[in-house]
Amino acid sequence: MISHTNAVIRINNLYKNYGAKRVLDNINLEIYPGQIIGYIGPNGAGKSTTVKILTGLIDDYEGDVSVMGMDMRTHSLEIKRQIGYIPENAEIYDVLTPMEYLNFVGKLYGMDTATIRERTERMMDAFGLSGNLNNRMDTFSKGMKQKVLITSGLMHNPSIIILDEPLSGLDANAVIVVKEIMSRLAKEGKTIFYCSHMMDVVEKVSDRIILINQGAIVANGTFTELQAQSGESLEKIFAHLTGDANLEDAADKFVNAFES
Amino acid sequence: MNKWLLKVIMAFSSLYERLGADVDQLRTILETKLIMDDRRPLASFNKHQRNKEVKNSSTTLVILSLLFGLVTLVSFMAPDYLFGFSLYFVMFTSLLCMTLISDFSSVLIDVKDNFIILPKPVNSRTILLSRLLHIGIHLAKMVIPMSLPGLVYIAIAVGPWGGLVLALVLFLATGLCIFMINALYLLILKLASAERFKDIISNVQVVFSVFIFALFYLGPRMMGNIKLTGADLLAKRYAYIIPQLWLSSLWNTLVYPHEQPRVVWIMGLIGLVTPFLGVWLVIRYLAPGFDKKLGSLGAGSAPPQKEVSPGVGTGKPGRKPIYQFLSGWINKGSAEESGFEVSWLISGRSRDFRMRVYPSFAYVPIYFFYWVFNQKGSLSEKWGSLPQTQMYVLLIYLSSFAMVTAITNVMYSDRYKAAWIFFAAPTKVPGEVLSGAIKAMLVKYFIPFYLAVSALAIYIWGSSVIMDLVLGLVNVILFGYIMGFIYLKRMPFSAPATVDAGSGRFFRGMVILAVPGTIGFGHYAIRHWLPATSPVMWIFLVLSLALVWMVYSKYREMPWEKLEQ
Repeated sequence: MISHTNAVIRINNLYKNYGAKRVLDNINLEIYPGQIIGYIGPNGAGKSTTVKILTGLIDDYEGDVSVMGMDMRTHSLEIKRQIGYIPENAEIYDVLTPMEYLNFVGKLYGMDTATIRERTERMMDAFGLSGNLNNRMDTFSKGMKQKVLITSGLMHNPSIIILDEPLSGLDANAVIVVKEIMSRLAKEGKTIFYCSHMMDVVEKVSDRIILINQGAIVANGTFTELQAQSGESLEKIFAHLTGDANLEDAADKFVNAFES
Repeated sequence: MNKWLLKVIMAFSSLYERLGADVDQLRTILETKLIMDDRRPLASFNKHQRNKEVKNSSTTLVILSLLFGLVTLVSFMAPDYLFGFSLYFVMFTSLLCMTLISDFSSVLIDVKDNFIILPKPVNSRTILLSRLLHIGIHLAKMVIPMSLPGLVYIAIAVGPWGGLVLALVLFLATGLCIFMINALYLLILKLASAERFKDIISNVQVVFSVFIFALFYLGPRMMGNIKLTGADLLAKRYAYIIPQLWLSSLWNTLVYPHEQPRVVWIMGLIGLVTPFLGVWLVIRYLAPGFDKKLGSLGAGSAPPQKEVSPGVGTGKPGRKPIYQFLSGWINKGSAEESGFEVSWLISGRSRDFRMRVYPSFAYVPIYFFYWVFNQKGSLSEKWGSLPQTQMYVLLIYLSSFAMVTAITNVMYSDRYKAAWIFFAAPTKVPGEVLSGAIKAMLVKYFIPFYLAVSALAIYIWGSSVIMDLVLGLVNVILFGYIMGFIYLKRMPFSAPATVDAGSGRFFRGMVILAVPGTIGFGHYAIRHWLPATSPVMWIFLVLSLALVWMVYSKYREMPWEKLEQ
């Protein structure tokens, strides 16, 4: 791989404990602009914790995290300004309308009302929601809320975009749109950090795949590089590197439970 | 109103800037929070209001606070100001604390903020200041209208100086409330795990709402009886620890300094110092780490992994929990059992259900004593003559109120969407599941409660009322099933609290009053003429049992078409 000098995200010797439990165990990472990084791992592997550290939500960690050359500990506000974060749990103030919510978020990023208004209208229109701009979101479907959430994360034109399961709840057409948005933004030189359990999507969109298990990185490379290591599909590679036992055995056990 | 409030608040923007906040962000956050306040239904007042879209909660809050303020004027009927103001401050502080706890704990511990605001480039000063100002605005919306009637009254009755001093003492009283609530929250957070916090708060809310209810129902009755004056109050040593007496003393010392004994002066001084001391205590000792702990309520903390008990998966049956034992015993068929078990479990764990239902159990004795105190004569006379009355009939039929509340609330839940399973499962008739739900309410809540009521009745009236209690129980159960028949036509926990369950409100209200009223009156009439051992009682018992059986069987057969969607 060509060595870039200007990594956008640089993580050195990152450790994080919750009480006695170690969730991140010496993570070292360098991420370069214009890449889509697929960040995968089983439940509880430490994905969300990494994301929370990168977005400045958790600040008591050991090790160094720097984004665009700025240290996370000292420059968290500047870093946050450069990041667009679309969280997994889809928390949103749903008593507000999309217009009100996006106006609120935009202003927190220091945007002016006119720009917010214009972008909101155009982005929501692209998602086919221009008719719902002034309806309260408590009546929205999960997919509609997700579209608002995606808009709220991208509206301020961030250089780094962190997505946690961004496609959940979206219909097939919207999935195509969002995937296309991601690759266009990457071409413009933005860095995209993509967390997901959907292996087929990660396999297709990512320039580089990072697999973590039990708080440590177990694979890091392009899809072809990982293929050479172990197995033909990402699903297989994932199972090979993180499944602690034979997965077919698990299925056997499950089905055999019918017999008494 | 919000725009106007915001303008007032933001007039001090240079101060906020000096404190390190970003003024534009601060304004945006406050603006949004105020809009959301307006759309959030008020937890403390309109529990049963089921509007589709809430629009002007703050206006409602202001009007209600004003009404409460008018109610507090009652306390000035007391013979002197020392006692009158003590009472006034008791009412003021309890109302304020209750509304703060029930309406504001949700605002204070809004976990969503962790996900929505924290990832944005907002500094911690701005967040902290936005919280404080938000709380301040909310307080002002309550405190100002609530104190207005009292201020006007005192300014006219005593003079402008009296009004001015009252304004000061009300300010201190507000500070005291904030201190008490803060101390309570912080103590709970120090002692209990963050997960239990919301549960405990909701229990406190239940107790508080019962307390307020009792205060308003019984307070004036008791007052009518006890012609207490400030001097009487001072004669009782234990009264010296009541903070509201300190506040009252402060007012009296400042307005009528020459007429007060020394103890009032001292208590007035304590009243002046305590709120400040309290706020200092909270900031100095309790608050550090509070935010962090609150933060761990939402994001960040991984739930502790539970040890998997070795019995799981090996197919060995453990000991059956009591509810499953009961369930198998009372129910017929697995659909009814499942309705019974799910209602038993969720009703005990759902905060929403507890908030709606638990207080109604306490309302029964409160209503009862309200009626007792309403009779002529002094308090002890009333109590003494109770065994000669037939008030136990009232007690029996009042208890149906608690059961109705339980039965009519099983269908509500904030997690109503999870009820899809009832519709996906191959249940022949929903009546079976619903019948199980009613049985769960009866067995888990009503019967234990009724036993307690019975114990009280036997204590007062003696064993001669046992037959009445048995007949009453059957009648109240009958009534419960009738209510279920008319009203409970949704699966357990399947409706959002915002949905009004069809079948005309007015009609339902009439049924709630008329049926137990009629049965109760009949019961009263029979016992007025006949002894408990009379065969007529037995005839009615058999009749009621037959009716229960009829309604129950009919309800159990309720088909899918009758279910409300």
